[in-house]
Amino acid sequence: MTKHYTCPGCGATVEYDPADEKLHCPFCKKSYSPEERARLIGEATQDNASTLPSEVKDRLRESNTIPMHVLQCSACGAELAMNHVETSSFCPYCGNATVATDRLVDYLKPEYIIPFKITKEEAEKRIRESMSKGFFVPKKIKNFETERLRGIYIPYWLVDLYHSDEQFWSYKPRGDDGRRYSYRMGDCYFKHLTMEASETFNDDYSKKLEPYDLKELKPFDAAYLSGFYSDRFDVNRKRAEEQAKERATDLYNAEVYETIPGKRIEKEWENTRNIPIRAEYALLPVWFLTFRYKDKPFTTMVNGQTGKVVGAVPYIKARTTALFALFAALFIPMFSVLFAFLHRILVLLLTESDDLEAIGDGLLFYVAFLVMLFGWTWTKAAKDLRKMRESIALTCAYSTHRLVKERQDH
Amino acid sequence: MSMAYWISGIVVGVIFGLGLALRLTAYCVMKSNDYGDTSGSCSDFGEGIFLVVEDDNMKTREFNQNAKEILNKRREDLLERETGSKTGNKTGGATVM
Repeated sequence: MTKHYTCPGCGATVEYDPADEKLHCPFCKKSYSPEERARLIGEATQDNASTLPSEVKDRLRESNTIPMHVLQCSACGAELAMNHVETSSFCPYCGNATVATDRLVDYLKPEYIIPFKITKEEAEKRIRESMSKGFFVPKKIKNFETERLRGIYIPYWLVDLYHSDEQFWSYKPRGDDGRRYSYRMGDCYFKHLTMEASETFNDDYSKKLEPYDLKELKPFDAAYLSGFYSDRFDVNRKRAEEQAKERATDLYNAEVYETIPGKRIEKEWENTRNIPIRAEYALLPVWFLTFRYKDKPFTTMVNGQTGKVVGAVPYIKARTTALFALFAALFIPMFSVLFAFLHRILVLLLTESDDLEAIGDGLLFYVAFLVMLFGWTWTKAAKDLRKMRESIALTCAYSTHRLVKERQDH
Repeated sequence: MSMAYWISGIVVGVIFGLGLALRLTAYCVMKSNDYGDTSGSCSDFGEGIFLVVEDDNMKTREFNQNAKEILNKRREDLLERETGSKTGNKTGGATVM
């Protein structure tokens, strides 16, 4: 069953507008908040899902497969195909915004939603602004032609989890040869840890959309879906909780790592405890913009609440090479002269000493210093380049492009 | 200054200079072409981490039994605040690893 959210005044389909957070009628030009519309039309804002028995809800939460559905548009009667996770779309014939209410009822209604705050125009403007600033962004990308710009509510599990850890870290103190230990014991209560619940959407890419301001979570109302696409979860709660345990451990360790003094830090031992408390189902807003560059699809995203732009694009190779040559031309002569003088001073100091052991130690120290210096520059450069390549690969991943493309146009 | 100093200086200068040039170029390209490359941290999902013990500069591993008691008490209080149960089991969703 599909549902159109109709105008209490004229009966036309209304669509949610993030600009004023109201449902707008394109015909009589009236606007209503979702609660106001429901009250005027005499409709309950909560549907049957909340009254389902808890054992049925649990079974549905664990369910991981739903077949493809062909639904009938309640406005014009045309057939409307939705993939196995879509819960709202647009009718291909009459173009009306359509919400598949039976899916929301049968397969667990989301508990929360963050409505879109960023409008379609603003999302595109933000992406264009970000790209126009880039010195290494090709002109064709700066003036990209939008292939699709879609607002999609992405399913998330908001996991509450208690994490505690007792750890021994070892490190090398500065100016000391031996190794020392650090002992850390602490905990963290993760409230609403956002675990993206779509198989198609890459987790590494979706994490970059964070943070959402979860203080603005609203109780779910299907009226917010009108005018946007939305999907249901296909990662069940149990799996989300398992992933949340790993994520909590990573987040906790990253913060503790920062408190360890010295260098060459390694975790030696740990006793971790994770207690998942609850997982709530929510829909969070994302704008997806796709464009093509050299026949490859690129999908950049905008957090539909905060406006954070996420994505990476290829760079102009000629400009990058020119900048590298410029830096190299500057640094090579500068450091060559510097090191030549340093070597002379070093030899003078070492030859003045009669102690062969001290000379050996001095040389060893200098070689270690050079190895560290080379490591610092080359490994960090290689890490940055690899990270950049990975970010570009995520932006032009076919799976994300499919997530946006395989939906009904309107 | 003899030739040897210059040759050794140039060898080290080239390796370090190229590495630094590559590193700066990679940084500039990332700044220009990679948007929003950050994700959430502990403090984005609650009150952040709380460390009961922060002992450094230890020559051997030494456990702190007093801290364990403090942490256990803290966990009970936190879980009671969030779930109404000291073990978190009342909600039915909690599992202890």
